[in-house]
Amino acid sequence: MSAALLEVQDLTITFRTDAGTVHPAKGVSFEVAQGEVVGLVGESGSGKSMTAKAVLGLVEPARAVRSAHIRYKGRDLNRLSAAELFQLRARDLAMIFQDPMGSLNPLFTIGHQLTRVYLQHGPREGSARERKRAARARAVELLKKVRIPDPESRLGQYPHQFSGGMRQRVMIAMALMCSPTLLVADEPTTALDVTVELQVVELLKSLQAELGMSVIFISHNLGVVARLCDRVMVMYAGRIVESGPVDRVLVNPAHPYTRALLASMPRGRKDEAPLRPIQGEPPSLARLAPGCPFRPRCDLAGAGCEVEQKLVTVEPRHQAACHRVRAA
Amino acid sequence: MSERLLELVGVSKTYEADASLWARLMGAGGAVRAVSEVDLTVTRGETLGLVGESGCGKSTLARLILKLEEVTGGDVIFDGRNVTGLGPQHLAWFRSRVQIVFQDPQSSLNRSYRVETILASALRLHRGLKRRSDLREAAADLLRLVGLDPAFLDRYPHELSGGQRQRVGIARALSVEPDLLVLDEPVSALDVSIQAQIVNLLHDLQRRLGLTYVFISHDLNVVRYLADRVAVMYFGRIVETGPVETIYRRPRHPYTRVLLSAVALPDPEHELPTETALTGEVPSPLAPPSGCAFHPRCPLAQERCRRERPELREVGGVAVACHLVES
Repeated sequence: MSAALLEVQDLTITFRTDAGTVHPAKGVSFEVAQGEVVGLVGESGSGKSMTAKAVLGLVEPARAVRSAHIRYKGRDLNRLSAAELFQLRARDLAMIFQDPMGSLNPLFTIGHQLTRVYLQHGPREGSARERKRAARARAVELLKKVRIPDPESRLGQYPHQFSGGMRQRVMIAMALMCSPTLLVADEPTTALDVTVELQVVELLKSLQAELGMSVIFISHNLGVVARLCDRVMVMYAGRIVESGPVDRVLVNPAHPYTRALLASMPRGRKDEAPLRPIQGEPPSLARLAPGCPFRPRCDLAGAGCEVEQKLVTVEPRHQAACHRVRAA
Repeated sequence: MSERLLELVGVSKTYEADASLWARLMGAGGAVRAVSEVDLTVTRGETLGLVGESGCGKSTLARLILKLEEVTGGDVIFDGRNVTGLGPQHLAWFRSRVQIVFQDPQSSLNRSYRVETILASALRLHRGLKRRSDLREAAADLLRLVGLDPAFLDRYPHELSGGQRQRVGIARALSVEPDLLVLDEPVSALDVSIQAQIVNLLHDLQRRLGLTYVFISHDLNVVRYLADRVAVMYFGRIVETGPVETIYRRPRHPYTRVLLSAVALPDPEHELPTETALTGEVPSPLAPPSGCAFHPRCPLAQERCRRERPELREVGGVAVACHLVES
């Protein structure tokens, strides 16, 4: 792994709502190295999707996003024009979403939608006909890569003729049409059955290894993250509260939230390993008390927690934002 | 009182795919068998986990148990009484003993009623309470039972969080003091930290009230945690059933093996499945495969599996429907 491909520094997103000002992301900083698979986990409303969307410049209105910088290959994305950002998307940055039915246009064939990406963002050489032919060849190649049988005839079909798992494969193929270097996958397997989920995760894993791209994998499923990712970042109330290698964070969690989250997942019989749920509810971003956002639900909360803690290093490459963890 | 609270005997449900006159005249209608010849027994006080993927028929089976749909074959016997053809005059009796908790409390609670009204309508119908103060007191008791403050009586569903709404859904199901609760994916729509609260609540309620559960879920970790016995469904049939630990420790049906190996535990050292990921998809119910429905996707399928449908048979303490499992 070489230097950072993506560098996000001090990202804050601010929305003014009827309930007050909310920050779906607050002071979020992280890096993604070339070829690295990073998991972004958290519960609903923790800010994981917003953070990822901000990286791709997809948060509307754009002025809601404030950050020191979002650097991709050294270029600051905040300073790019809309046209430059358009050029960067698909070719460098691509995204897949949770619901493939909502992301595919039901009125156009799969082939039309796949080739369109390539025609708009792909190489510009050659006549229109040559480019069309190249786009079609590329679409067939990618459908093969995501293991859709009989890709030539599938190109002429519409989204409703595909099953849920197949549609998600088409979405992955579409995202990869222009060989992006960074793929953002927002809960791509959440809507799928477990066996299909496993297929898609294994597919992403092998494509990532083959193409050497970086992946930001957003999920609430720590089991899938354990299977796929090198590193994991845990978000709570718009903050990254813990970050580190998967085999450290999930085995030796430092932040009380990560620990509580793992303790609330069933891993055996009720008599063997009783569940310890996290008390209370995830906080409303509009009514966040000052200090550590996890404080109202934390077993270890005490003096000092009314001041928010920044991420501190607990062991090499492993950080947590908590007063109660001992810095290395 | 029968020890066997619920018995399904050869229960089937067939839907007409296209019931129009034209289709029937042309013989093009075709029937979809959502549930085929299911035999199941649920003993009083136990939790039966019903697992399988989308479209396997588990929710249809739940609706048949509840008599929200009528079976097209077989019998449903509840507490020793055949309820298959039960007329409307006896339905109230049945409804007061069997209740359901749905996956999505957002859409299963009437959004224009306060929590008190939601709970009171069942109390009035089934427990014969009439006075407003009695109804309110009984509704408050129900909320306390599910760990909610009685102050929630005056709230509307949209003012509650997902976990609180699901608690109200459970309270409503309990309002008639049922024996059997059918829980159809009751925690699937909830965040992980809230899931654990509801799972613990369900376990606690079962112990305190002696309830019997049919727990439907695609989350195999939750099923292992809560269930005593489990039934695995594939394509409308039960392919394996038995004590949950026996099956989780040693799944015998090839489909159960794949299903369990696909379960992701949040543990990087969790050994990766030896079973390869399943290829292919669940077959179309309009064109059911011959023989064993799993054979087109089964890594072990043989000629016999294509011809002959395996029946459930006893093997080592569980029942399994596969030709290739050795006795």
